[in-house]
This record gives sequence, C-alpha cells and structure tokens, in this order.
Amino acid sequence: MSHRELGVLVGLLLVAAPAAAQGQRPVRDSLQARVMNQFLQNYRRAAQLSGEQMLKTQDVLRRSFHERNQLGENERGVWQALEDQLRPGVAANADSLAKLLDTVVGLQEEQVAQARREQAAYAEFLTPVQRALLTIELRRLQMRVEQMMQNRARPPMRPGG
Amino acid sequence: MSDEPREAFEQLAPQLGAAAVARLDIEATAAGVVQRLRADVRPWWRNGLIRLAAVMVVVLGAGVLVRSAVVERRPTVAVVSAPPELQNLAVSQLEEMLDSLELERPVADLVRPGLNDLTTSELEQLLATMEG
Repeated sequence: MSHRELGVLVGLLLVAAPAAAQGQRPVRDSLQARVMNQFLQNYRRAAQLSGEQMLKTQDVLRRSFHERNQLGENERGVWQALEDQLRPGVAANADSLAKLLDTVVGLQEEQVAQARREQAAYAEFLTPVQRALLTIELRRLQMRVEQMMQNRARPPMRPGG
Repeated sequence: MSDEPREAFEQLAPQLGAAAVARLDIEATAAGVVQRLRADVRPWWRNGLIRLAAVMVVVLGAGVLVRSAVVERRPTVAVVSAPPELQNLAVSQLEEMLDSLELERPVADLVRPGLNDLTTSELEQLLATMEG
C-alpha cells in the first residue's frame, strides 16, 4: 500500500467514525423513547390511570428524568475528580478533597430534595396507591439498568467455577 | 436427813478419785500423745491429693502465662461488621463481588446509571423484557 493510498484510508476512517457515531444517536434516542413509552403504558395499565393523569405523569416524569440526568452527570464529575486526586503518584490536595467530599454530600442531599419534589408533584393528581406503584416501577426500571451495567462489568468466570 | 450420814459423806468426799489419781502417770501419757501426734504429721508433699492439686496449679499457671504471651504478640485484626447490602448475599455472590473489587473500576462509571448509559443492544434487551 502506497503512502497516498494509506492517507486516503486514514482520511476515510476519520470521517466515517464520527458519522457512524452520529448515526447511532437517532437509533439510541428512538430506543430510549420506546422504552419510556412502554414503561408508561405498563404503568397506566397497572395503575388504571385516566387520560389526564397519564399526560400529567408523562410531563412530571420527563422533567424528573432531565433533573436526574443532570444530577448524575454532576455526581460522576465529582467522583471522577476525587479518584483523580487519589491516583498513585499524585499528591492529593487536602482542600480540594474536603470540598469534593462536601459536594458529594451536597449532591446526595439534592437527590433527596428532588425525590420530595417529585412526590409532591405526583401527589397533585395521583392517589397514594398510584404513587406507590409508580415509585416501585421506577425502582424496578432503575434496578434493571444497574443490573445490565453490572453484567457488563462482570469478570470472566473462574476456571472450574 | 440426820447429821450422821452427812458427816460420813463429807469425810469420804476428799478421798474420792484418790486411787485413780495415784494410778495416773502424767509424764508417760504426755509423751505418748506427743509421739502419736508426731507420727501423724507428714510433710505436705507426701500427701497424694495435695501433690496432685499443686501439679495442676503449676500446669494451669504456666498455660495462662504462655497464652497471654502469645495473644499479646499476635497482631489484632479488627472485625468490621458487613454492611446491610452484603448480609443477604450468597457465598457465590460474595465471591463474584470479591472478583469485581479486584477490577478497580472507576466509581464514576457506576454512579446513578440511567438509560443514557445503556448501549443500543442493551436498550433493545430492556425493551424486550418490558414488552414481554
């Protein structure tokens, strides 16, 4: 392969990789939307929601997921920074660590506050039984996601195990 | 009672026991008692029960001393009770957890995962379980 052919190939790869990644995005978005739609349909059946309740639930859920994603992003950033501070061979900055730890606790408090706000919002149009069902179903969905992430991280089986 | 017998009794009274006193050999009796007492007194180490008890005391004392010396030298290991999350796991699950700890995966990767963190195939898999 000549240098010119190699250059063309590398150029094609550089262009093709981001394009392929961008092509994945609509597929992911569509799949996420389908998952959420299916979740709502299942919940509507279980909780026997009216049309109005369904619309309001959908609205609060959308806002709640957006806030949760934001909080999750922030929390990951803080944990990442904490781990960076404690890398072997790197002198940890005590002040930075103390601030980061305070931030972790602050974010956990924010999660609790968010959960309270969500329950208050649902309480305006859902009965306690419907709210309990929704909370349980959301927890189940979260556990499935976590299980999938953990399966991905599972180490190879031990020999003979 | 008339006075005659009374006088006779009073004369006889001091003589009562005089014959017995005359027969007594006080020195010989005392020497016999001392000799018998000496014969009964044996040194304590010649008494079987006391000897056994003494041996047991020595053995137990030595055991306590050795044990305390060994325990003091042994490094103490703090026993930390397991968090509630671990207490309901089976042995195989705990082994899996130990293996996963060795991976040292960044904590940030596992913080509050959501749908955004799943791959397309995982999302398809999740959807399939919800539709089923």
